[in-house]
Amino acid sequence: MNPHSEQHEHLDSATSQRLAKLGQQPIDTSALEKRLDAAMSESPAEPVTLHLRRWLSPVAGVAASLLIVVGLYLAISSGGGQAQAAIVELSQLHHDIVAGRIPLTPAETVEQANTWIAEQADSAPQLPADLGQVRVQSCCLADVQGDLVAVAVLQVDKELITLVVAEAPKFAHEMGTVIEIDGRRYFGHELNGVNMMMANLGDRWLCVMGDLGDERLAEIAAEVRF
Amino acid sequence: MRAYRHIETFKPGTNMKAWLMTILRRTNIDLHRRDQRRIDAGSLDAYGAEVAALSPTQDEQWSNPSELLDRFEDEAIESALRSLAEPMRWTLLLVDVEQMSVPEAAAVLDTAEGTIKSRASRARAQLREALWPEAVRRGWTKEVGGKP
Repeated sequence: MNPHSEQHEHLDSATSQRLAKLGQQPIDTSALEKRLDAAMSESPAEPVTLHLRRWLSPVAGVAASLLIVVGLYLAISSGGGQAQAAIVELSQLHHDIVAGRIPLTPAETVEQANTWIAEQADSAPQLPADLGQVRVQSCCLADVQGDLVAVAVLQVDKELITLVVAEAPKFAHEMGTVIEIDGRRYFGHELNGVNMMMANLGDRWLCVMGDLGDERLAEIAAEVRF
Repeated sequence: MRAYRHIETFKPGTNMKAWLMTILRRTNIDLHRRDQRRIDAGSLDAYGAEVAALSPTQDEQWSNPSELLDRFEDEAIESALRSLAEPMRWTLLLVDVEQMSVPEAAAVLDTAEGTIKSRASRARAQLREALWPEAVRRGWTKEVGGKP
């Protein structure tokens, strides 16, 4: 073995050992185990519950320990699961809009939409004043993770596109595929079958989502001006 | 918990940890693109190969790696992990943090065992590369040749 390989293996081993220590932190999981146990006991079908509980008890122990890893992973992957949870809700919001489960207010212009939004709630964020070539079709307000977000429904290339403006930092999720246009970075995700492109616009977060491809969604987002 | 919803898929006698981690990984995978427009494991592996190719030179600068790595607090290590690309991060999380065997990690990540081994090695090299500037900044070691 050449000296470089030896040194590399030595380094690998040291790195691996250091990482292993992350998984050895003593964490009190008793409360978590109680919650897991309680959740398992809520099964309505008693025979099934009894059957499952024969081996769910060890599952609870393992699940509790793995939740430590889940927590660690979420912390590592995004600086917290809150942003991911907000994104999950945003993707569901698009599904609900497309499925007609959310009442929409027709609006022919962004001004009309913003007037309606301001009438509903002073604290709600406003939609961008300029959407470029894209025309707004309707609008609504939505509660995502306890924060009001302004929503515009657009029709682009025969697809319904949902544009969301949020102000809470929990929407900041600078991960995923990055597309850069005019110096601004757009972060792309695919979640629940929805393509999403997001950008940080000062103290606002913009999310454009729908069935169009990343590049097209990023182009739409890039035309937005507040 | 998604594991409860999929509990019927667990087969008693099989590896429970791998089963749960697979659910976790599949849950997480929803958060990331799977088509070719997105960063894929192949391109990451290619990037990792470049890093690995650089590592012998870098490696020489880690004269006492265990001692140096232990000086970093957990938060710094986690921050460095956060900087790694998704497949690299997952590999280290499963193999090193969670101490899964290579076959188990390969099953969870749905990839070849050889890929796990090579990716783990490259991911560790990337992790060290991410930590090196901080070690220099804290005065724990001296920068040699301007770049780690």
